[in-house]
Amino acid sequence: MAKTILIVDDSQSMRQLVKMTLTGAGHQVLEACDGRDALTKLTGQKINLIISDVNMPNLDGIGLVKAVKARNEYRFTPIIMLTTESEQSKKAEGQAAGARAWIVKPFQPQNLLAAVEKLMG
Amino acid sequence: MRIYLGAWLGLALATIGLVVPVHLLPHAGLLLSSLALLALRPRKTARAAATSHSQTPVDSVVTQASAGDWQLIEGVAPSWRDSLGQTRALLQSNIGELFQRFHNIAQRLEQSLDNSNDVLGNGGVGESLRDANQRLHEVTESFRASSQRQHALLDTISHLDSYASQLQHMARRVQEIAKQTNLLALNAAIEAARAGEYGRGFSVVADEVRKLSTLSAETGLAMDEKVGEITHAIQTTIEAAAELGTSEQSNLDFLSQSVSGVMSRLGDNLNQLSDASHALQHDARETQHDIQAIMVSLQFQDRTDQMLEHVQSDLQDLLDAIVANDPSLHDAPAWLDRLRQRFTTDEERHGQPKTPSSAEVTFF
Repeated sequence: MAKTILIVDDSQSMRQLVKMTLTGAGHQVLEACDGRDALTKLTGQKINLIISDVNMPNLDGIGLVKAVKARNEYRFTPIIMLTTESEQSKKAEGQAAGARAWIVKPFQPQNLLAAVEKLMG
Repeated sequence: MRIYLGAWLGLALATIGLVVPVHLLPHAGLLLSSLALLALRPRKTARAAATSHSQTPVDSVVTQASAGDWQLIEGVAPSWRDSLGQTRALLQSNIGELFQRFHNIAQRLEQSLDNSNDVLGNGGVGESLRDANQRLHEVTESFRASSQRQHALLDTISHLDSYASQLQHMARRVQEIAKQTNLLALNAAIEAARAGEYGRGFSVVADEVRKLSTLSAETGLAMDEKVGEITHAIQTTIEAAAELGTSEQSNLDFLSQSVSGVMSRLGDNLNQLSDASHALQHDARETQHDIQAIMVSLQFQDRTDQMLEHVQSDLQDLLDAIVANDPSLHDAPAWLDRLRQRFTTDEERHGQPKTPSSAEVTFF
């Protein structure tokens, strides 16, 4: 059954790659170019999962996770961080904010899909 | 005014050297040329930092900038900044298009593989051919069974021929009996004539018996002729059927051989087609793996974009500081610390790129 996934990344090409990976697996995709834009997309509709970059303008990924967890209707929505950041301190920040997984770019599309299916299963 | 100009140039050159692919160097040419102009000035060069990964760019040697340097930087740096922006935009659009094209190729390959499996797998050409072979074999066997039934029919008709011979013999016997009866009737008539008036009644009976014997002889003859005609018809039928049977057996043998030959050739062709298709499938899967690897490799653009963005932002900060004659221009360590805070990639932090692996996924 198709799930709706929100992709948040300031890189249009990365959003495109992630979108192609997810739509190829039959999922529906919403896109946002940063954390602030992502929050405008969370307007009550069902979002099964969020995939977010960390370093973005306006509102970064860690800030987005905190903001999402503060919203009742989305506080249980799993969030995957997809980022070039591989520092343990950053990962710890993401975990503390409420992210469920951390994937370092460049990523293998099948690894992303496996993580997505695991968290939505 | 003091600033770690060499360190900044070292960082810029190292970043561009790390991230800009060879085919995009012309677009970064202006920036590199401008940076080279400054790097060639009589101060400790940052070139070593750009060419060595053992030393991070921000650890480069620092020097003191003159008032003339600031004027030059203020005049040229906006061009560097714009070139960086153009490079980022160019990379973004081209890599996006490459992602799309490779994705389309991968999808078409997937579709071709599915089609190929449909043709070669269950319900495909191979199964159709095996089914056709089975059905043709059944048709041949049906013809063979029909031929055997025809032989059985011929045997039955052959027996009819022997019955006809017996009938003909019986018909001739009837003629002989009629002939004897006629003779007896003739003798009876002679004896009746001798008896005179007393034999008149007997004479009438003898005449009737003669008529009957004559009629019997004619009937026997007619039977003999008809049985002869029937026998001839049966013989003709048997001969025609035998000839037909021989021809049919020949046709059956030809049909069987033709079917076997055609099916054998089709089977050989199918095997060749199957081998070629499997080779194509293997190549297609290898190509898909290559495309997956390319899709991963092309993600360098995201790291490149971030690194260029950091240089671009720092360049803007430098311009702003020059215009404002900001005191931060005199505190190189603090400036470099701020710059380090922006770093998001291993290349920036350690000068080493990362390689993708399944270990890159961490679940919390």
